[in-house]
Amino acid sequence: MPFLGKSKKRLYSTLTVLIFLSPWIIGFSVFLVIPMCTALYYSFTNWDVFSPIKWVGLENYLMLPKDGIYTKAVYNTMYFIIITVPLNLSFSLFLALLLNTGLRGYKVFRTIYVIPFIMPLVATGMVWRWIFNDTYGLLNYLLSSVGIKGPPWLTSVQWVKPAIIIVNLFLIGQQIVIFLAGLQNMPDTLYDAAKVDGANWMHRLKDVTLPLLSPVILFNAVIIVIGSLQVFTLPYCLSWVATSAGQGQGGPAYSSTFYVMYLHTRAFENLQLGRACAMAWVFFIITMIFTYLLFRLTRKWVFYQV
Amino acid sequence: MEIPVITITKIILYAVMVFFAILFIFPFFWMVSVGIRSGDEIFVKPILLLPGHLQILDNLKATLGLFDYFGNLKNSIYVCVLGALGTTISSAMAAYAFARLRWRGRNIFFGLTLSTMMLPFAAYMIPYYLIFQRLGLLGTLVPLWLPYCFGGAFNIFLYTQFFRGIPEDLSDAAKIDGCSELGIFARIILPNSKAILATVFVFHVAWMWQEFLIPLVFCPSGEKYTLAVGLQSLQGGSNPPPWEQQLMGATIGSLPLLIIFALTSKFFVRGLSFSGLKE
Repeated sequence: MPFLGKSKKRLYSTLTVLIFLSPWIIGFSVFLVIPMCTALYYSFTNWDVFSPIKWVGLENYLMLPKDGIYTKAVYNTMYFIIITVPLNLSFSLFLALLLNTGLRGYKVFRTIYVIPFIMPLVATGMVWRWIFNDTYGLLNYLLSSVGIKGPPWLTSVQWVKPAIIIVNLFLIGQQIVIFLAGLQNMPDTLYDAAKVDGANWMHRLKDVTLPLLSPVILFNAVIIVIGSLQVFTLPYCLSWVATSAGQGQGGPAYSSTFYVMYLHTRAFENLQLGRACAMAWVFFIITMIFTYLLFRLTRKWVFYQV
Repeated sequence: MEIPVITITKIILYAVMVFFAILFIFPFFWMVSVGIRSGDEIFVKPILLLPGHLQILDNLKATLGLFDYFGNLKNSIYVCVLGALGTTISSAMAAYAFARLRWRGRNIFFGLTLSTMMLPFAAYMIPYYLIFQRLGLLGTLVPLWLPYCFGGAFNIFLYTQFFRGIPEDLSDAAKIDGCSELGIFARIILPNSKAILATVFVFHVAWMWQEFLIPLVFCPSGEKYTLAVGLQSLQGGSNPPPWEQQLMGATIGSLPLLIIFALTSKFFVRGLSFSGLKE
């Protein structure tokens, strides 16, 4: 190996790099790039498995806004994201700050807060389905004991989405841990300086902690946004449709049909692959836009330590 | 005068933490509590927090009859472990190239890799599915673990962060001794990364275990179900089984993962914390 001529050494390095990268290159191209490109191709066809493939240009895309269920799915997903992101971010930050006060035994609490995140989502969905039951569910029972008549959560057009948002709020364990790690990683120097200047805990929080934490806040925000866009399992398990179509459709009146659920239905139940691929690419573009917006809008307040 | 104030603050803080702890653990408690009681203690008012009359074995037997628990469990274990093994190694290899080797286009490709984390599965799941159809692998469990043996963006990201932190001197010393890059990888990097290796492994198991959309898409037949899909089938469309059986099912469905979590929580927390830090 030593004393290789310059050109031979270069070749060796390239080969080495390829050896290490080859699994990922294969994975990346075969399981990500090729499917994405193929999906793009199919989105311009009217393929539905049975009939031969026919190019239809932008028809699939243009049909989307006219599809009532599609627009509902987009609306539901946006509704979900707009409420979930700030809610989950602030709640998890709150709990992380609480854990960061250095009280003894905080690790136990941290673990407890993570447990709902770890539990299989399907199981969580099943419990909550029961909790939201309108006659015998715990939630309405508790509400009635303070004199409020609880709505028929999962069968109500207005309350189904808030119900899903509530369940989702319990899953913030991951965000809490990430925030906590960020908080514990803060340099003391700035805090000491602030204390010397007479800042109380509120000022410290606003002017030292939050700015220093801003990259972590952004990181968590991105995770929540991407996760919310793709929400599938919870609504699938919680949605109740009193028709023979059964679950997974999102109901009632499609008020809990989210984007990916509808995509899945179109693709695997209606077998309209061309249309579904168009939906898929629109979804990809929406995800990219959201991510870009998130980074752009927060650029002013995200502060990176040198 | 100062001491009482600090103590009161502490008490309040603890009280709030405990309040939320109870809140967070409550669904789990409720799941078990309903799962072990008999049907007549469910549709009653006032709602009983704890069952007066335990019916664990009966519910267990009835629930096990509703779906192939052990078969699904086996499938889940098989799929998760294989996938975890695969991604642990392959992602580490890719991360080594990103973190420890210098080559043209490295940063661009790394950025590209990271950006795939934002690629929603739904966007490419149809052709992804079709690939396996062409390969004749539908109806097997292979699609549920094979792709991960070629690396995963998030794991590559985690590894890269970690590998960057290993001092260069170690690999330089090895290079002087004539060690090849592969040798450095196997003999220096890997042994020093046991913690992150374990973390990636555990992460994958936990994630794949409760992943629902992917097994749903690939396993339309009962015997190849993973636990997640099998559990969901308990909800039954038009004729659902009684609630206590559903929740007993949810309980036994959650148990394996909770046990794994109890044993490996250290890795979880460490891995999650690591992903958010910019070191």
